[in-house]
Amino acid sequence: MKVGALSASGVHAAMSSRGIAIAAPPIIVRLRSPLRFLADQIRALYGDYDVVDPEAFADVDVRMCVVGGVRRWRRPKVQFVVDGVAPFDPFPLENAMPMFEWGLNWAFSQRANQNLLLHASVVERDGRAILFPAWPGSGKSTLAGSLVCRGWRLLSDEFGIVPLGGASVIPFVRPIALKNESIAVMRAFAPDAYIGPIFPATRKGDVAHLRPTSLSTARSRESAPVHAVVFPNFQRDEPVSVQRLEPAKTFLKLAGNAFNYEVVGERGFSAVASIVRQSSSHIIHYGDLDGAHAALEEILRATPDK
Amino acid sequence: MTVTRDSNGPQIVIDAALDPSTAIGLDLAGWERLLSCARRNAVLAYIAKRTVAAGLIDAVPDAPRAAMLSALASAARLAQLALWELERVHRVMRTVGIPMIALKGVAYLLRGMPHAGSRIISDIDVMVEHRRIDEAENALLAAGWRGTKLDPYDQRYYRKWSHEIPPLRFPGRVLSVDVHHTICPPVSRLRPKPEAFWKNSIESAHHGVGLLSPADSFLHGAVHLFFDSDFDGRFRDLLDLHEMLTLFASEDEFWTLLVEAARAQGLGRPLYYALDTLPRILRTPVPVEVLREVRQFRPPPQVDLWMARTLHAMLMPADPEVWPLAHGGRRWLMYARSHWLRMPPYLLLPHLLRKAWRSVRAASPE
Repeated sequence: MKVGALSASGVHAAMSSRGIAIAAPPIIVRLRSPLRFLADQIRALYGDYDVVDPEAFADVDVRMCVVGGVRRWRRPKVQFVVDGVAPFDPFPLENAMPMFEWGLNWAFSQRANQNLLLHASVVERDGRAILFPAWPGSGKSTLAGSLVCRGWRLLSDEFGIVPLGGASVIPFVRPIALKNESIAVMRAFAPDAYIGPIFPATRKGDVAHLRPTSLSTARSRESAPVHAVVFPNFQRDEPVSVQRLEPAKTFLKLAGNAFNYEVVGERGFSAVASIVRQSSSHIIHYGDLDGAHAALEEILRATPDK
Repeated sequence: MTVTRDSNGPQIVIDAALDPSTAIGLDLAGWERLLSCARRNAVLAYIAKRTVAAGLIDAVPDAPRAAMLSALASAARLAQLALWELERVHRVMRTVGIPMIALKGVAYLLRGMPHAGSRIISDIDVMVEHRRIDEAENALLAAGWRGTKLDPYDQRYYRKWSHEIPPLRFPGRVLSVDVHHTICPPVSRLRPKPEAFWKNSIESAHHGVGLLSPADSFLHGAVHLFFDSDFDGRFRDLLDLHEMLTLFASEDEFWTLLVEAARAQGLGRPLYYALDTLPRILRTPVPVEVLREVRQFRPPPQVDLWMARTLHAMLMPADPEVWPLAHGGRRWLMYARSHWLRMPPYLLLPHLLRKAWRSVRAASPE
């Protein structure tokens, strides 16, 4: 059964008692919270995800608790609690959804060292994945989100998850966090896409979540080999240009941007090496999304499978 | 017996920590309870390591096995960083000719204790002689370490009343360095003589870095655990004590030396609490005659009873389902007690007032 097949009050009832367990491969997350508005937002953003038995094994168990005590009468806050620990300072109550998303990403990154975890967005078409490593101002989420709205499959917005020993990426399909100007850009680019409410003034500025397409959630257990590594560079009004990047430089950039390169050690080195060997690497400068899409299609066309 | 989400997680953790084969029969709900409770108490890597050592890791179902190996990888990386940081600190100390002793987590690594590589380490602890501590600090500062941000009050507090200087960290590195000159605050009611620690210290596998004698190492762990102010998440420290007893018990005259050192250094009380609590929670074998002997160090009967109950409640693994923390009243009393033990009243009162004022300010809405 899908989350969206439950009624709004059904989701809320589950969340405020034993929890709602959602399959977001490769993990199952269980969420408990008394917050009705959070239940509504979860139902909207995770509508296409499978609900599983809340009494069964969950990889991550999250509670979004309203913080009581001295602060309660002034301004209620929400606390992300995982395994009985609150690793962050509380957020304003209305920002429960972005806090859940960040917290879940953090918890996942803490317990997934059987993989190399690259900080990247990953999309796929025709069995070929493109990895967009994150760097400040790169616009990886906007670019990945825009491709997904045009029929590409989303694998992940935050993690390039490479199981050690391979060079394919496994999906971790989640809502895409759009920040600041990207929100309006995406609304204009894909008016039919579902974008959740804007959470103003979080620690990363304004945030809104783009719901992953049904195509992406339906295929959320299918891995894809990395075909190209593309470092995005968004500059307003800049014409599209693509440069090749040498494998050695790509290697260093990828290794340097992994969350757990030192933790996984030698096997992480091998994973990065395999990715660099089997893919082509590029830097793309772009000022508009349509232009970038055309350039990316050209990259896929021009690069033979290795 | 079917294990559910409501099963007794703390007991499952204790059983798995002592004997990993007890977990093998768990259903997946039981495994989740074990993982969650082990994470809450920072002992997942410990249990993972024991499971691997027992040759049982392949009998663990896929999802919990992946979680255990992941935790083990994180802990192994921290252990590597800790030994590396120790080496960096030692290079500086060697240059200025200041002898040093490794303490706690990094010392367990140097001793080759089986569980050492599975501890979650957040800093490394070393000891130098009191008369040379300023020199040691200046040498580390000159070599690039920086004081972590503390307000002037904290700075003064550390330097005047503490047994260590404020933590130092090399910019860009994960682990900070705590430089001690003894094991208890100098104004506390416990005042062991550091000279004896130095005299009994031994060489470690890392040439030039010393270790406390086994007895002193255990006493240090006991003081650290039973006289501290924060009793959240200390089950792992109890496991350290358990591991030390397990390792040291076979050494010649360990028990005799332990009781003697405690008596000579005035550390009988923490030793009593440790040897009284360990068998109750972790079934640690302690010879009957030793248990009988350390009873001379116990507090008056009413205090003894209250402490036994409180320590049991505080040091059992915390249950992740319980948030915020349970036992608020006992916890507060233990906090107050630790300060009472640490400082004479004329210092304690102004210190607590200042801390209370600070927490009120921090809690008030911005």
